[in-house]
Amino acid sequence: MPGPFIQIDQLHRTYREGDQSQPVLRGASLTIQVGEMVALLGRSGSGKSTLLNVISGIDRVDSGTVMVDGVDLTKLSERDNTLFRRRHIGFIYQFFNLVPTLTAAENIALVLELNRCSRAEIEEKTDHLLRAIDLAAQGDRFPDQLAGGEQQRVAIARALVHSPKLVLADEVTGNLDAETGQRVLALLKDLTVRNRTTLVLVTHSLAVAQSADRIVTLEDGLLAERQGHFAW
Amino acid sequence: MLAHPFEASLLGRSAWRFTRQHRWQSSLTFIGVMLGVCMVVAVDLANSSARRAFELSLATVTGPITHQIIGGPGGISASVYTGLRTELGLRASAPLVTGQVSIAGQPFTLMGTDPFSESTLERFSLGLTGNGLSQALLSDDAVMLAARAAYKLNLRVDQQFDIRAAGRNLPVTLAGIFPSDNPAATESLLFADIAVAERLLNRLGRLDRIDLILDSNDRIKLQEWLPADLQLVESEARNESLQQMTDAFHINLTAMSLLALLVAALLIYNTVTLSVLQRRKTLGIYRSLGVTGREIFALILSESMLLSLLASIAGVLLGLLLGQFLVQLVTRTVNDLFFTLHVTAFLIDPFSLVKGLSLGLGFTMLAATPAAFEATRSPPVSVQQRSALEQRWRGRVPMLLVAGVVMLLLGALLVRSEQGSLLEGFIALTLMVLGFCLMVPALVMLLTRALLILFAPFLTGTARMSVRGISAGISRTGMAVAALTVAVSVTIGVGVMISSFRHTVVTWLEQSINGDVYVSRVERFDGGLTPDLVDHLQRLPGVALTTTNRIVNVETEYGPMRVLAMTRSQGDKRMPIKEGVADAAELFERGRGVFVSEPLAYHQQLESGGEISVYTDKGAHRFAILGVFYDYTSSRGVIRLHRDLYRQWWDDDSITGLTLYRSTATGQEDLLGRVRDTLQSQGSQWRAASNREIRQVILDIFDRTFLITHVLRMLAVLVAFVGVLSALMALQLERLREFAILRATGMTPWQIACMVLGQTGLMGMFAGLLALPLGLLMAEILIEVINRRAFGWSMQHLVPAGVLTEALFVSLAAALLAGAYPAFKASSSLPAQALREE
Repeated sequence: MPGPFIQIDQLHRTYREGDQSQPVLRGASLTIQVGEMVALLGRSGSGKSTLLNVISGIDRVDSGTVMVDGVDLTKLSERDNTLFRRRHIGFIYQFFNLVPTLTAAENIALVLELNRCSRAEIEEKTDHLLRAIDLAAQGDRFPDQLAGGEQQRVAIARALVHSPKLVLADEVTGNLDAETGQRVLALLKDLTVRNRTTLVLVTHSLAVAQSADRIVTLEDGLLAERQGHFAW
Repeated sequence: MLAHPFEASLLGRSAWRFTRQHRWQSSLTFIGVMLGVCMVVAVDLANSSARRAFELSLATVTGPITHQIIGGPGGISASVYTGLRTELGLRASAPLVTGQVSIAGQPFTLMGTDPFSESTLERFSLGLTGNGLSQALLSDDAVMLAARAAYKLNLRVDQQFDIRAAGRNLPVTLAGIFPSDNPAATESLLFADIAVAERLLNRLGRLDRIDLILDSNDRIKLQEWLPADLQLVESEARNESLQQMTDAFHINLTAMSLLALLVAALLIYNTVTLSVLQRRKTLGIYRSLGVTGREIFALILSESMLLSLLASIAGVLLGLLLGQFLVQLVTRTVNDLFFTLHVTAFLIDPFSLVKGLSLGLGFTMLAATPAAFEATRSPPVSVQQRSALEQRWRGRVPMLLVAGVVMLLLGALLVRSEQGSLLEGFIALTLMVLGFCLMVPALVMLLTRALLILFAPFLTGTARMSVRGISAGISRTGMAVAALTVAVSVTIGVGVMISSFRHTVVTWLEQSINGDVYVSRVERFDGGLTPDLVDHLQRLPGVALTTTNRIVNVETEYGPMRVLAMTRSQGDKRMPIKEGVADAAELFERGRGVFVSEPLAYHQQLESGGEISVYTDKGAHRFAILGVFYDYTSSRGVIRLHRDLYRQWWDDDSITGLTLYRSTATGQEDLLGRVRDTLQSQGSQWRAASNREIRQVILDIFDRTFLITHVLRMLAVLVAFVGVLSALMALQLERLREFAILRATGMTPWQIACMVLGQTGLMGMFAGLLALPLGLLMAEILIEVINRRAFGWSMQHLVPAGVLTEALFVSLAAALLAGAYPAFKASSSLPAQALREE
């Protein structure tokens, strides 16, 4: 039987600003299997985004381990962490974070180019995903020429185009109206399920969380598997 | 076909689009680098043209000769040449008589040579060889010109024309035209047989030098045989010492141009850093997507490289144009201050072009590296916080302040030594400039705080926002003001230096040119006033007092030097003394020693009480140094001694110049008129001038010397203006979204415009104000260290208000202009549109 895809153990992370320190993670532990969709719920400022950054190797921890696909990200150098992220992780943000000086198609193609795919492969995969997100006609538009929902769909396509093993989504529907949010979420689910991609979804919306295989909460710096009603 | 330079890379494509979107910023940086490179290339080409012309002239005239015999002020007797050929059998030798003449107003060097002897030296590069030369110069008015000169003067062989020599117009015949390997070197040479040249120059029986090719045995033999009043010198060493005369001048010009490039580099640093900050979010997205720090570093650096490559190429091309203009200024200064040099050809030295290009690229890379490095440290977008960035910067401000102070102190340490090198001086200057730069963010924060406290009751809400915005965004405003401060300070530093120098020279002229009428021969170093004429002038009515002088060029242990033999009389204070032994003036009158000029004392580390060896007509003699006097006529040096002492060591009674002092009852113009009438009756080779005219001539030479510095300063002002404009405009354009939010919350377009203009104006004023101390510090180093080490001159300090107000005006005008477009854009566009565009 294969081991867990993500194994987080005793994570500690404290932010320090001058004399003040703010502990965000105080021994958080979590295990996620391949192809699982896990929703991470928590109040604003509870450390959800920090946890996501730690899983992607973007942020450092004070102590603990983060194993992704058998690799301990806390032991990797900055450069190796970046290369791991480039190859195996897709990231989706609440505020889309598309490169303003690249068109929609170019934004999607960027990660493939970074992974040194051939031009033909880049074109094929980009076109395919543009069609999949229903934006084939808008591929040459710049982000500021797209609506919010369209931008988020491009961001999803960018996160998935290189077929990563793990997709991290931070409040992907938080900046969208309810209907658009639902459509974006459905698209994300559809694309990840199809490729057995592991998805970690940060949200504070119970409705969004309930579409996941599991729901994990982050409270007082600790992770807990939860079911039932939530106060927030 | 590539649509743009980064077709192959999406990262590059994104960068290219960013550059296009910020085309104002990119264009102004382009102009800054282009002007910096243009100055370096132009100055370098002008310098190398002048140097090359000098080298070519020397190489052409010197050819294969190894030694020269040179004499004192009276030249060499023709019998010496006969003796060394007949008694010593030195056949590889040729006599030479040279002098300055003019044809149709253009200066030429007349070289009188013996065609038969000349053939033994085989100076083929002159084109004068063998029988052709002998045949052509046989007649007694025959001269030869290089083909190019004859063509320019529209002269044909056998044509008669006039030359002006020794104050007279004399007819000659163009006997031949010679081709030359080096047209640029021979174009201003005129050849004649030695007898013809002696007649034309009015120097019968006296040679200027004898050129020889000697082996070591011949040299020893000749040295034993040579009379004491003549000197055998190695031609190479003599050429070198001549060339060294202009080195400091060339170095100084190069330094000026490098200073402009330093300003351009700071502007590049500012622009690249700003563009990194502007793209901080995009770089953060890249980092999140898996772009490594190394890739971001390469991206930022290659962007700067491309921009600077294009700007440097444009700068080199512009430098070629400017260089053609500057070479005329450089040559004129060399002619005024050092020796006659005719540069008719603008020589394009490929090395200068490569150097300009490399410096442009090198400085840009150096300036862009810290920003590119900073870019690699851009955190991924998900952990970015603008406030954190500003806090980090604010945390760095004290550290930068300390680093700045340390650099300033290091610079100060480097300039402490009295006899340090010129290079050390420049390093110190750079250290101090960069040190001050690092202190600027702290000073800006201090100034904004002071402004908020002192003017609190008068500041409106908008004004407070303008002021606070500067310290709140110190990561951007701090370095922008720093770059602008340096740019503006260069204009102050150089302006104060030139004004101080001019003021010093004017004061010095007032002290040293205090006679009423000066009489001299038209040609410099060419014979003297006859005793009859001197006597006649001294007896003119209204003359209260006269002093005489004799100016000659003599060899010293430090190379050829100007010697001024003078009579000192009561009331004549022509020699402002810097320092001297006790009773120096009295000892001078009694012929106990000499005075040396300040540059000579500085460069050769001479001081009163020491000695200097001078080659006299009686051989080498060590003269006691009685003191050091201020002198701005030569950066190489002048030796002054009493006429009696001069006559004791030189067999020369000539008088080069006469100074007349009028009696109180006589007007200066009356005396001048009388003297001119007297001179006219004696021939046209004499001239008389009032002290005012002499001062004006010297000041004209001074102004011509510094014309090139003025040109460079104006270019530096332009670079500064472009810098202020680009940095501040970029800062404000970046804040359009912020302005849109303010508009959305109720601020009127007018309030927004006032806020933008207020902030840029304030930053321009800060830059102008901070540039004042830095500019004055720069002037201090230029005056006390750089110029002193280059020329040996000390200067009085003068801070003209005009230079300071000009600097404030430049920074303020550029700042307001920089704010105008963003103010217009922020106030005229719809807030919703601006918010969406972002």
